[in-house]
Amino acid sequence: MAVARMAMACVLLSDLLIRLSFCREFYSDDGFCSRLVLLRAQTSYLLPSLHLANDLETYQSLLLIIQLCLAGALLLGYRTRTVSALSWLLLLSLHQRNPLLLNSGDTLMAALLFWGIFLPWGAVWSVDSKARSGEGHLDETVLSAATIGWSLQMACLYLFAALHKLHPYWLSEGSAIYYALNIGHHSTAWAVPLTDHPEALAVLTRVVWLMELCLGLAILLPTPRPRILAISTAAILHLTFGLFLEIGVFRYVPLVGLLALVPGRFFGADGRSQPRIHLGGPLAMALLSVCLLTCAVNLESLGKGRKVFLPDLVLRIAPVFSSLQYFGVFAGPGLEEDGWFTVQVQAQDGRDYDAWRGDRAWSAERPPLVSATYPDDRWRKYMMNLPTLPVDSPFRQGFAEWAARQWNRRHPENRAVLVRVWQARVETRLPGPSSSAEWSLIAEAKL
Amino acid sequence: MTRILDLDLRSLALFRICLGALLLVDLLDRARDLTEFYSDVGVLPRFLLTSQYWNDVWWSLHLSSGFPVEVSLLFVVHIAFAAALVLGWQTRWSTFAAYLLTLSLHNRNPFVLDSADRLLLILLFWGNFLPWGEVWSLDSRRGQRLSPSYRINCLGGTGYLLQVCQVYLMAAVWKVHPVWITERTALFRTYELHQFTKPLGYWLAGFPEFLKWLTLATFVLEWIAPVLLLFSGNSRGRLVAIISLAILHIGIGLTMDLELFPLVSIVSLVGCLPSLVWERRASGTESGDLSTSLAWTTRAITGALASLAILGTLAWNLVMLSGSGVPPSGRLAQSWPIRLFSALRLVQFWDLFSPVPRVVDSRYFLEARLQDGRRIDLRREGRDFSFQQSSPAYLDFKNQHERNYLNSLEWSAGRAISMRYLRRQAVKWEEAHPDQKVILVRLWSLRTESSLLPGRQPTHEVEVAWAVSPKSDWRGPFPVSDPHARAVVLRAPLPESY
Repeated sequence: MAVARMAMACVLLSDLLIRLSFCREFYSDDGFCSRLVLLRAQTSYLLPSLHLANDLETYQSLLLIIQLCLAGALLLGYRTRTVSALSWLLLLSLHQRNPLLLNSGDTLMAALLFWGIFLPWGAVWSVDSKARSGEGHLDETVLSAATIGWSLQMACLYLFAALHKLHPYWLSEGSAIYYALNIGHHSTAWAVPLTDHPEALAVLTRVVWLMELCLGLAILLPTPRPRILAISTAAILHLTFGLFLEIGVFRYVPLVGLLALVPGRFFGADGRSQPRIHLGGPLAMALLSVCLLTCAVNLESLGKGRKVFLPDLVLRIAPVFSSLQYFGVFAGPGLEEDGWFTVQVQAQDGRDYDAWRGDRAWSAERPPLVSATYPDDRWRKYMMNLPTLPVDSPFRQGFAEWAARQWNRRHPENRAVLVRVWQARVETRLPGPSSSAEWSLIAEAKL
Repeated sequence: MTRILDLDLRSLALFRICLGALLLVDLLDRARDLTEFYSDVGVLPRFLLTSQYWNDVWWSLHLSSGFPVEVSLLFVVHIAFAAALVLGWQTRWSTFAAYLLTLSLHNRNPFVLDSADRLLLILLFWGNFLPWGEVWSLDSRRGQRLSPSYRINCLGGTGYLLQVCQVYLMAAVWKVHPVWITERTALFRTYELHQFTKPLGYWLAGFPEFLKWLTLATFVLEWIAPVLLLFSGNSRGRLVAIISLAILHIGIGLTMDLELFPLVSIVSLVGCLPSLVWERRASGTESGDLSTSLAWTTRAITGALASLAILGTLAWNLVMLSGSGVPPSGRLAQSWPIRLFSALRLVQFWDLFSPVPRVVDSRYFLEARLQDGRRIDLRREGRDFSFQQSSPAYLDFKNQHERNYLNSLEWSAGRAISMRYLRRQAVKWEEAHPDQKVILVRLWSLRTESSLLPGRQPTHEVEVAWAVSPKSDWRGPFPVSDPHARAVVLRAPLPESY
């Protein structure tokens, strides 16, 4: 678990550093999601966020730096419990500041960090354990409400990912991976050659599905040997995903989750000691009900947006524990849709420029590697969220206005007259070439 | 030089207790309007506040959520810190937290604020630099007092004393005007503001000659008292100044409904009480120096901050004097000292009823037309609408905050905020009476001009804003440009005073 703590801290550190480098764009009043945009959207599901107190870039970076320090303290294991709790709170607050940046990796990260507060993950290899002068007890295994929560969380990830994928693309047709790799938004350069072999991919598709289903069950096995096998298979699976798909933190977060489940024997413990069991008390009861909540919400999510059985109140509480999860990415419908974004700027000199790709003359051509047009995966996530919002959404407008501001800043002598954000959509066909691009206007700013 | 700035630890402790109690009272009063004034449900949702009326250096924790439940959680924490301040529990941290939360609360809705709130916040700010938890506190039961003597001299105390003096000096400087000196009609004019005047004030207005003398006395007092306060040291002179100013404030409080203002003003003086209040004969005359017992880093930081704040406050008041009361604008307003000053809300302008008291009094009426053709007044429990009212005007308001908000709607807040106010009132009525649909709401201001104003108009009503029911529902999405809403029309501009 100590390894998981350090890994979590590293993921947090890298994630926060990325966010810090885009602090102005993501979180400040000068970015595409200013506080006003967020508040105008009147999103009712928002939790309280400390990041809303002020909108200056200075303040936002200050908060991010505080979070970085906390992540550093977590890495070293300094006052582990307090630090875990604080970083969890601030992470939730940060998530709420710009919810459109988030993918299921972020939800998973917050959920795992929440369980981490109650785990004894600072017990070994930490500043705290040094200070307590006792050497860490390596061979100690723990069974508590938090460990149950953590394991169930990981099991939910695989199990529900498999259940969501009960779709012809994954089962009868076996075309899912082919489609997924064809989505330019997140396929890496490695993925391109693979798309030439749809038959092999069809086999792979079913293998992946079967693996996810089995993993969801195998992770919960009590015996060490099969569990190590399951964990290493899962790790290989994630590393492969990460190689072919740009999916941001989702590449690394499940690995953190898996690390905590590695049996102590792997690190040289003799593994014979009986686990310490802490399951009594009101806290454990509360935590166990959070476990139930997570499972219930995941079940509800199988309804694909329709209300199934949970009342609104539960869905309103769930985000507090990051239990509002949906692991149905790449599940099926919509998988065949490929495309890219461009920002068309009509400048004062009467010509059209593409502000999204280095301000060259605008063209309707597909970029060679779409995923490389995004500065970071969070940008992709944000932009892919825009078309799903209502036409008059402030988020769309905010993005166009931001693009215009940026252009004017870069070209004070040739200011923008009209800025249009376009989405080009292409349908991948199997077999055969893709359809021609269909353009839709995401947002427009007239100046 | 150092001797005249001495303060007494026991006075400071009493000051802390009183200020904490006032904060408690204020918070409990505000909690009644929690949904209306501080949540997204009410008259000023967060997006409306931040879209136009926000200074980008402001900081408000109360913006973190718009739900009444979460805002009330913040209120509970705030009340807890105010109580901790009264009890003197972890005084330093409680003071800081109380200051931060009050700052945050003030930024959440600046339209309900008046001088009382600003003074309260500034006093809390100075509290951070005062050793006011040294006696009569839970902290003092635990440890040794830092100073053997009750008399102390510290930078924070100097800042606090200077601040209190500046309030009166500035008010006095602004009062250099015929209405206070030769004509001496200022108090008479003040009692013509029906919004505030209590029965006793109306009675006093029946003796205009006597009021002339009172006017002059106020003017003289506001000049003499701060000088006495500052230069007579820890002695009888200071006590005289404090008592006479307290009498002034009690007089104001008895004749005018200003709620917190007289109280905050009196409390602001409490910390200056000289040692002779607490002991029959002066025991020791040497003042203790607290700073020697603190770590040098703490000393350096607080010392630097306090000196900066002292210089800043002095400079600010001078700038306001030189700009004849207009806050700095342009490049000066963008400079970092001014930005820091507004971020801490130390911005101050003590123009209390000066140079000339307001010449227009407003009484507010909220007309609503119902579907069945009735005209009712939403501010008067839905009674039939009429400009003729028998009750005294100062009883119209739920509290000072509501009065300030309505005044802001009329004079400064602008169209969008007025629209939102009207819609919210309509929604509230329809929620309470589901069978009665409101089709039009109109906010009226019945203006009365001072009887001394040359060429005054008779009492006349002015439409502040009106809104027609949108097709869907009053609750519908708030349009940025409301086709049914007309701009706030001020038919009669504010008459020039002289």
